[in-house]
Amino acid sequence: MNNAINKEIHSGVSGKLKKRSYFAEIWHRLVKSPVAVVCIVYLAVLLIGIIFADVIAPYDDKATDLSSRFQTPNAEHIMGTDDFGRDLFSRLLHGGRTSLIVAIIAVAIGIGAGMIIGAVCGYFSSLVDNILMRFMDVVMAIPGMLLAICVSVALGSGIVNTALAIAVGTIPMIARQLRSSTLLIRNQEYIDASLLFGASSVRIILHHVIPNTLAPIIVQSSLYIGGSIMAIAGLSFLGLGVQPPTPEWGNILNNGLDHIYDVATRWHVIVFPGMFIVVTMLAFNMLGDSLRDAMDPRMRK
Amino acid sequence: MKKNICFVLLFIMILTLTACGSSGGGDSASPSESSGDGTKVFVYGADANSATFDPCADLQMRSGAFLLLAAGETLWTVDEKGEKIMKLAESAEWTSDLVLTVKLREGVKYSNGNDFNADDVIYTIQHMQTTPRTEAMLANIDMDATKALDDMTVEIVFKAYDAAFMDTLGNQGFSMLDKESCDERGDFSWFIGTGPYKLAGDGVNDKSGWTESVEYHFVRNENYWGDAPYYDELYCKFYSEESTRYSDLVAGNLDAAYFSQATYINNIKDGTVDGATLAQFEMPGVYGLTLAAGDGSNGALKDINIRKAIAHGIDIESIVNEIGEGVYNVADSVLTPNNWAYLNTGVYEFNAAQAKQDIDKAGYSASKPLNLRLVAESTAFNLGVAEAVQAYLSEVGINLDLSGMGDFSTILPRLIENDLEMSIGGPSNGSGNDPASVLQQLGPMSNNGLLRVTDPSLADLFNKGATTKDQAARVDIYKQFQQKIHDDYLFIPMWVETLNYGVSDTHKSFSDAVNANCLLDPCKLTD
Amino acid sequence: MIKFIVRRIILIIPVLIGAIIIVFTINYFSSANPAMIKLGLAASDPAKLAAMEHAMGLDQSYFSQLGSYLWDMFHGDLGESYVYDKTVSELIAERIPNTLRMSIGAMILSVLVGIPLGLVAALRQNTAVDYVTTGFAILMNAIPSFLIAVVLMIVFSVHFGWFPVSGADSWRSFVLPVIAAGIGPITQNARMTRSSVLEVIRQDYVRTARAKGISENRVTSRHIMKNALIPVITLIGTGLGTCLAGSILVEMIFNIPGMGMLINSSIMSQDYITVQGCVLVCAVVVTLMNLLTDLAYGVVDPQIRARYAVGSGKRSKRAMAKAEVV
Repeated sequence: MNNAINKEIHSGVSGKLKKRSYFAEIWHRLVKSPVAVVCIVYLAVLLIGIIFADVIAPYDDKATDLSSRFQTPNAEHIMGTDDFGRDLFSRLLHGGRTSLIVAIIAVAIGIGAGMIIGAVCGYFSSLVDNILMRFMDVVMAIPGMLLAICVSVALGSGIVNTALAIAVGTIPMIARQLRSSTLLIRNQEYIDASLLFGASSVRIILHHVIPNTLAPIIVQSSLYIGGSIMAIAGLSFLGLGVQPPTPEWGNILNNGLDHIYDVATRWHVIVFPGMFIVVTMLAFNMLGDSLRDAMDPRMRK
Repeated sequence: MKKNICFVLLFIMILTLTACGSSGGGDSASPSESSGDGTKVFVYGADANSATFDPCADLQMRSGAFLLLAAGETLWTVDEKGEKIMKLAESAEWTSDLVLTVKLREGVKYSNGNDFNADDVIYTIQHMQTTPRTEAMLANIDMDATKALDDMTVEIVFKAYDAAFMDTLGNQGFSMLDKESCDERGDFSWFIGTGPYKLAGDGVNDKSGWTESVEYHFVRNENYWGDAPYYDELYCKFYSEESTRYSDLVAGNLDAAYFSQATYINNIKDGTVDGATLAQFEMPGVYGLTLAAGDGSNGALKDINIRKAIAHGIDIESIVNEIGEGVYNVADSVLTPNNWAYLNTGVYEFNAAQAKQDIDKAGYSASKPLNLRLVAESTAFNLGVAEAVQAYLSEVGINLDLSGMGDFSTILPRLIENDLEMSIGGPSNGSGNDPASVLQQLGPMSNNGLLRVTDPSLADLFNKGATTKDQAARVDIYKQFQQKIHDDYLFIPMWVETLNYGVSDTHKSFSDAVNANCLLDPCKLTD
Repeated sequence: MIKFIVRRIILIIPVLIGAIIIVFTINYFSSANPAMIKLGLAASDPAKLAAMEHAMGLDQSYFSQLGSYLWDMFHGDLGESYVYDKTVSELIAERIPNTLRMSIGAMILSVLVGIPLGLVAALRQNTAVDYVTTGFAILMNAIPSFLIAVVLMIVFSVHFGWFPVSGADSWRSFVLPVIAAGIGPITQNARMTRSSVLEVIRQDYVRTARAKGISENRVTSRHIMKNALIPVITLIGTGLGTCLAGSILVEMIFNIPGMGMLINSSIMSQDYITVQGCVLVCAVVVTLMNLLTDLAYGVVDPQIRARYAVGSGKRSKRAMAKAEVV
């Protein structure tokens, strides 16, 4: 990966034009892989589905109807109804929105904070670097899920708090990665040249360091989002995640698992949420893999 | 070469770590129906672990009740008809309206060999009276005047006549404590009682009878004064997840287990579980929504319109019947129909339009919702009911913030601290059928009740009921009490609490071993 | 070499102190009042509450509370549980053996299964073997561990009766939980090994070795394995962290009395100081594991030693950067 960055840097200094073509090139190679195309199409459909959940969902996701509990899929409810008689398909669409929003916020916070810390660390003196990176080491020493539990116990549940809880564990990973790419860039001659021309540190970080290190991170965020969806589901299982009645894939699946012994008649409350989680995780992970391959300079023709 | 050495090193390191782990515990053999040497063993699956052995702290947990019924004993117990059956007391007589003279059984020893005497009784009552959870139940006792007449006679003196006292003291929570060992320990990290069983080990060096969050292990109490029970050993296994408890019953690892979730209960009832049947008992208690309406709450529920909106905003029948899947019955009063003071006050009618009007009167609406916090004991059924209530009330214009909490002893302090407004719970904790004992938990007369009612007329009624001797007059008072709770929307009864046991087919006599409170009394098990 | 080892050991001290500070601070800002939780019903008496707050030191400043918590930690004292009549250290000491057995078991499984899988997949790149292994890894990585645990239990314990449903009585109790907690790390190790091996295979020295006519087995074991496994093995410590976290959910399902169940019941009864203690102990275990793997491989691999080398800023940084970008 850093080879890619290296090459990038060697091949040109001025950012924007070059960067666009870099993304374009990756995209070009990405769409050649059928797996990636399938993932992209699935995720696009899912994204449209959850963005327009209010329009697409046939029912209100929170409207209970206790007289029609556990209906198996039928013409009215294409995925059946859950233990409160709510339309499962509508719940899953809205639940996907919650899961993805939380995951995206978490990764965005992670990337944002990680980027700042990483860039500052890589760029500035060894003292600042040392302090911040040791701090990151400390955070990394605490297993991510446990840290998330700790944070959500302290902050309480809710969408933003859950996102924060998960983000805290992602920050050091991103920060470390960014720091090492920053170090490579920093030692390039053109940075010395800019410095010579009196460019400020902030300017250099903003104009050279961040643009050049961002690409691999953005690409990787696909993997982080997948991981976050899983972590949210785990928190829900512990009762710490998003609280009812707000649907979220983890708590929908968890509610369904209570009925696993009635799987013959209530299979849909386990199979559909399980399917949504697994397929989405697969899509994010496989897309992440494909992107990584696409970015691998050795695979450039 | 170096690489190989490192691999070896790494492995040795891992193995040592594993070995260190393995050395602790792990020697308790898996309990089964009966071991090879003819020892008769009974294995019961209960809910989570009680945190302490203090009998008055955790009355609510099923595992706690099992412990107290196996290893503890009360002065007397109360049967279904309200009759007192003497246990540690030989006799108990009201020598006047305010004096109860209790003669104790001779020759009773605690499992540690200490003699049971009048000092222990006074110590126990004193402890109950100074513990917040139980103090209100014994508020009428005049502790200064209560004394031991001799080693085997106690004179309990009251400030006011207490009709429910005998029933209250019959609850397993009032098991007699050994003063000597309690003083020695200074805490409740172990339980010593006079019951037919004792926890394995002496509680000082050997604590093998309690494996934290795994099980209680009981063996016979060799010092027991009465007839020895049928089983030689008992295990009470803790399961915080009901699904795992159910799995273990299905897999045939449990003789009996308690369940709350309708889907499991119905599966056992339908015969889906090989070798297990359902034993179902209605408790003398009602569960529903408690509304903290008085001082100490944030005040929103002081407005009767809001309480009305809550009562009429939820479809009680449909919630209990649908979520309960036919396992639970709708309650139509604070007391159960088999109570002698029962008055059918009717189920609050579901009327969303009416509820919207009421909430409107209180100054809230769907666009300007009222936010309240509701907590439920975290069994699947309670949480299911909570979520259904939340859904109904959101239509009316009340947003409920839900949380599941360990058990009643965690919920109550939060109610008191004004951290909550509503809870799912109710009067189910008495013993016998005396309303004064059953209604205790609603506690209009104390600070520690579920209702934070400050209405003095309600407390007056309650106190009058508890201090009146004439039965007909008491019935009348409790009918007024029920009507008042209903008219003032102070407590919303939802279902009659039911205890459901999945029992292995081999235990035909299981139902006989269930006491008047529907709890399993392991000492009465026979086969 | 000794310098490296000493330096590496000394370096974990600030990490541990930092972890304590972070966890303490997170908890400090929690809205719950520990005195209230500890007193339970008695908290309705303001005088008792104030006395308890004083006794617990809650009326002191953040720094002095942190100071005394740190001080106690150095004596192995994690504080007293709000709910149990026990100290947090006692509670954890009772529970940690099961959790360690499970997570170390899961970790060993992830190494013993994950690495060979990845290796086979890489050596047979673009064959059916590769596709099946990679597909399995990707699929398993996408299933939540609690779902795997529930399914494993119902199939193998309840239906077939091969393993106990719950408890921690014998090694058989741990088979399914270890698999459930280990699946994630297995797939991670497999994927990591595969990409690492693929990277190494393309290196010139492997080509050279083959050109020299060295047998394929020897090339694999000496040249490929040795270099490809370094990044994988150094991540074992972090893998243990994943296993520890995974075992929380799995313990609850299999009713194994470990730290996961302790954490869960403590959350339920608001015994936050116990949650705090558990998280810290896990951090210590992970840090020690990282130390051990680092020490073991630091002996062989100069890249890792370089991370802790003393040198002028730029050069050492460059070395560190190289070592960190895997």
